[in-house]
Amino acid sequence: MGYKSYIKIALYFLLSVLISTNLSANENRWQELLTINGFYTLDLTYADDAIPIISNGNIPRVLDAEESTFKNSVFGLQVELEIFSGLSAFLQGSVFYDEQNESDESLDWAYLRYDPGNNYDIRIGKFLVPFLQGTELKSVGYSRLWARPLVPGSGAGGFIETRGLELIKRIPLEDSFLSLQFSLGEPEHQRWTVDGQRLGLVAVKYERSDFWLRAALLRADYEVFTPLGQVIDDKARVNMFSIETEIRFYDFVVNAGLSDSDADFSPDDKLSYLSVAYPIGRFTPYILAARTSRQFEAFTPPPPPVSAPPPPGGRPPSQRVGDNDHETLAIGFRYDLGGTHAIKAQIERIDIVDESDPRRGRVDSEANVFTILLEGIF
Amino acid sequence: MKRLILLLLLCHVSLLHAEIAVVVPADSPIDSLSKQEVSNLFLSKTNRLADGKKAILIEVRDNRLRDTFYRLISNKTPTQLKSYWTTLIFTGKGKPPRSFPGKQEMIEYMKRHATTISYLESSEITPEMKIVLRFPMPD
Repeated sequence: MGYKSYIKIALYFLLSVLISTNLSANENRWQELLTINGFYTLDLTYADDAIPIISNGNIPRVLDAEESTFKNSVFGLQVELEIFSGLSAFLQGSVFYDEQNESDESLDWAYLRYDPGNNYDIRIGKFLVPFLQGTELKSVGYSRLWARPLVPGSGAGGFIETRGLELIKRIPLEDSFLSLQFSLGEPEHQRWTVDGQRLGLVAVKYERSDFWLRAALLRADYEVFTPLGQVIDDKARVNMFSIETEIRFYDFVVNAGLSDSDADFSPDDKLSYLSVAYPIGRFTPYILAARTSRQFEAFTPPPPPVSAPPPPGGRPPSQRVGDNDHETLAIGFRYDLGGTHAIKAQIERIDIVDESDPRRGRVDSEANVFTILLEGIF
Repeated sequence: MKRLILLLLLCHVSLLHAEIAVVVPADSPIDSLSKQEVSNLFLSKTNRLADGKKAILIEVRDNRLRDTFYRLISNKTPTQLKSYWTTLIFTGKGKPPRSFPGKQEMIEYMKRHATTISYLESSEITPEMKIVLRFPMPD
C-alpha cells in the first residue's frame, strides 16, 4: 500500500471521528481534544558545481552546477486527537519536492497512542525509524541547529519507516532523566528490491540540564531481490549502532554523533559528525564537520529461473568493490526570530569520492554549497 | 512626605520578595512539590503526580514570566527551550503545557480540573489556588 492510500485512510479515520463526536457541540472541548502543529522550511540553495546533497525530504537530491533552487523546502502538519483519556490518534505528514521536482507528500507518522500510567507510552501504527535523533526529525529543520540535515535520505541503512509497536518508558531520576524506547515492526526499505521483514530497535537517552547522551541498537531482517524479482537472499540481516551527544561546555554547545552498520547485503552505512556552536543571545554561529560513508560489495547473481529459491549455503559470494564517501565542512549561523521562527545561513564544502561502481572507477566531486533559509513551527 | 516614603518602602519590600509560585487548585490533595518534580512535570518528562493521577500542566501566555520560570526549573534559554519542545512535539513524545491568553481563563480552567498545576507571580495568587513551591524572582 502506497503513501497516498495511508493518507486517505488516515484522513477518513480522522473525519469520521470528528463527525461522530459532533465538532460544533462544544468549541472549548475541541480545543482540549485536538492539537494541531506544523513546521516549514523555505530553503534557497545554490551550488557552484554539480553535487549530491542531503535534502530535507526522504529522498536523495543532486544539484546541477550553478543551480539555485527552492526544491529543498518542506511543509509539514501534525494532528493529535485525544479520543478518550489516555488514548489519542497521531498523524504527521509532509509535502516536499521529489526527485523529478514534482510536489509529493508522505505520511511519516500515523499511530494510536495509549498512556497506561507509570510513565509508559504504548504506540501502535506507522513510525519513522528512531535510529538517530535526526532520522525522526529529518524534515523538521527548526529542531536542529544546522541548515541541512545530517542524516542522508537512506536514513537507517535504507530503513526509513516501520509499522508495528513502540513502547516508551520515561524514568525521572533525582537530578536527571532517562528514557527508553523499544520498537518492533515490519520495516519499509527505500529500495524496492529490498523487502523488510522484521525490525527491532532499542534506544536509551540520558539527560541532565546541560548534557544528553543517546544510544540505539537496531537489527533488521530482510529479503533481497534482483530487479527482475529473483531472490538473492531471503535471510539477510543488518545490525546497526548509534551514539549521539550534546554537551554545554562553558558557553559552547558541542554536538557529536557516530553510527555504524554491518549488513549482509551492502552497503554498510557509517556516519560521524562534530559541531561546535557559540550562542550569543538569539544569534548562534557554528562550525560543522560531517562524514557519511557507504561501503559497497558486488554479488554474483544466482542463476535463473526467476522463481528459483536462494542458492544452497546462503547468500552468493561477495567482494568489496569500493566506498562512497561524502564529507562536509560547514560554517553558518542560526538567528532566532521571536519564539517560533529562525533564519539560517550556511556555507559548506562538500567532497565526494565514489568508488562504488568498478566499471566506472573512481569519481571525485566537489562543490561549495550556499544555503539560506527561513523555517519555523506553528 | 512620610506617606510617600512609606509607599516607596512598601514597593521596595514587595520587589525584594517577588516570587514565582507553583500553584494547584485550593482543594487539591497536593501540599508541596520539589523543584525536580516541577521540572519533570513542566518539561513533559512525566505526566503523573505522586499518587499516579495524570497532571494537567497549564500556563498564562506571558513571555517574561514563562522565560524566567523555565530558566529557573531547567536552566534553558527561550531558544533552547523552543528547540527542546520541537524535538518532543514532532516525535510525539511530549508537548508543552496548555497556555491561556489571560489569568482569568486559566483560573476558570483550574476550577474545572482538580489535577492542574500552573505558576504565577505570587502577587497574582487568588483564593482558588494553593502554593506548592516558591521560587525567588531572579534579578
